Amino acid sequence: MNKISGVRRVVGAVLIKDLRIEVRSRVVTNQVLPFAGLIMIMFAFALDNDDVLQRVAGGLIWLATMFSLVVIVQRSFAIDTSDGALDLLRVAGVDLSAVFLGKAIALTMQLLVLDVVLVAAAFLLYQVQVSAVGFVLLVTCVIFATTGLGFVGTLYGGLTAGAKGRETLLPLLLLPVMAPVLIAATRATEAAFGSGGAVTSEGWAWVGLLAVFAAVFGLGGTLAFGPLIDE
Amino acid sequence: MSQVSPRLAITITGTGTRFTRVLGVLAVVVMTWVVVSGLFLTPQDVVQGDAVRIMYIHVPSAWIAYIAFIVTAVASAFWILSKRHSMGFDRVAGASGEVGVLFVAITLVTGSLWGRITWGEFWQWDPRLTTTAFLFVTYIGYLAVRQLEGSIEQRARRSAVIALLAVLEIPLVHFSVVFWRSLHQKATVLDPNGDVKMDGLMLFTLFSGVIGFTLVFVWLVVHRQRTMLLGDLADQQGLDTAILARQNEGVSD
Amino acid sequence: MDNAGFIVASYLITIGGISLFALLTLLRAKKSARLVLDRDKTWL
Repeated sequence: MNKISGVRRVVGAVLIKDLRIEVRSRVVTNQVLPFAGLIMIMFAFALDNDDVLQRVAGGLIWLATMFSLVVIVQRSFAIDTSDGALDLLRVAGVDLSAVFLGKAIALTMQLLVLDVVLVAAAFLLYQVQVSAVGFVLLVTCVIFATTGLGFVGTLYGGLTAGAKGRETLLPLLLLPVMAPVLIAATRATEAAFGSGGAVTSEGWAWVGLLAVFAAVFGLGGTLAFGPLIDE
Repeated sequence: MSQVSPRLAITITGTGTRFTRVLGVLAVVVMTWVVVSGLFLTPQDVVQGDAVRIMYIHVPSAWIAYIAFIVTAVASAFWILSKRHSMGFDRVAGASGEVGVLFVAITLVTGSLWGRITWGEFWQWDPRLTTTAFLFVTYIGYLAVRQLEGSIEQRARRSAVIALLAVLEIPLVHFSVVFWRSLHQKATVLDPNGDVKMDGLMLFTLFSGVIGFTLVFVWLVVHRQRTMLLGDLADQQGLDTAILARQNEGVSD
Repeated sequence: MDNAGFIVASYLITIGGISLFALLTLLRAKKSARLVLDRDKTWL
């Protein structure tokens, strides 16, 4: 067995394990999705103005994504550490970079589903509109943004995994790191929706920034995840 | 710093040495000069008036804050790369991080007071200000990671990785904020450090400020670093004593 | 001095903040120093 195929097998196994846990427990579907939807409704209560909601819809989608991400990451690592699964993987001599990639892809896939629902909620609740070109921009933006978020979420989730007080520490660490994604994804989404007279073509530069973010933290996470949880 | 404990009547040696005492005296002298000259001796600025006096403490503290975080990152990298994982690197990184957070806080407070005078507002969403605010929360997170329970090695490993990730994060934050401000509102913020025509004394006072703050920084980091070692040893000793007590219990049964 | 309040406040906060940090560090050092043997204090 050469190294590449070994890595690929670990990535696949971890990915399938995480998704299978989700399919069986349905925590994201039954709890996180309703939570994210609730955030969108609560924003509508708080802002209480159709024009304002339409204008800020992009930002609200991404804020709701990030709050939900914290919840998903915490749960994912709580499962892994409560029965010592991470320790077992480490003892088994598994390449931890592969574990990182597997968990990050699983998280990205869950975030993708979440964002489809959140965008749909924005259409229904906030009356946003999107052109065909805008839709392409929106899809690209969601893919790159969730990839970047999947990487940082897994990286910082691994850092706080198993530590006491992680529930409060994780958001403190994650939110500042996610700020570039919030700025870039929000601007790209607003460009796609045409909120506040934004032009669709303006959004592509922001998608570029999202891609850089995903690349930087994908690489950084692959290198740093092993040392972080190897104790 | 040595003092005689009244109860035990033995000398307790703290974190002071001849070096830190000399450094401390120098720092106090230079800082006193900066305060006196900054507040009273230097002239008003043509454009900014007396507001320019805040510069003599604001600019050096911002400078030291950045230096402190660079020291943290470099010391963390040394800890990871060094074969023996010497804990001295970790303590310097942690001490410098703490002092850095103190100086960013001072920078933000003095900057917003200055902004209140020159802009009429405490805060502007200017890229440099926003990045500095992010620097502040990021290193508060770094310090929180150092407080997580676990062994000293765990603390060193976790915090070193966080410090190096911050090196990735901060430029990304800065770039995205610059990009955000340049695309949307075109308003340019008046640069408080610009528009200042400095005469000889003003330049000298600013320069003394940088020297004085650097002395203070070194003094604080040296003491904090030694205090951290004392704290680690004291914790370790407390644990040893507890284990010994438990073992003795077992023997007497 | 114009805006004397803001200017003096910024000096007080700076000097006060640094002094407080220094004081806390020294107090902490004093507390732990009792528990540690002098031969473990590498700087002596």
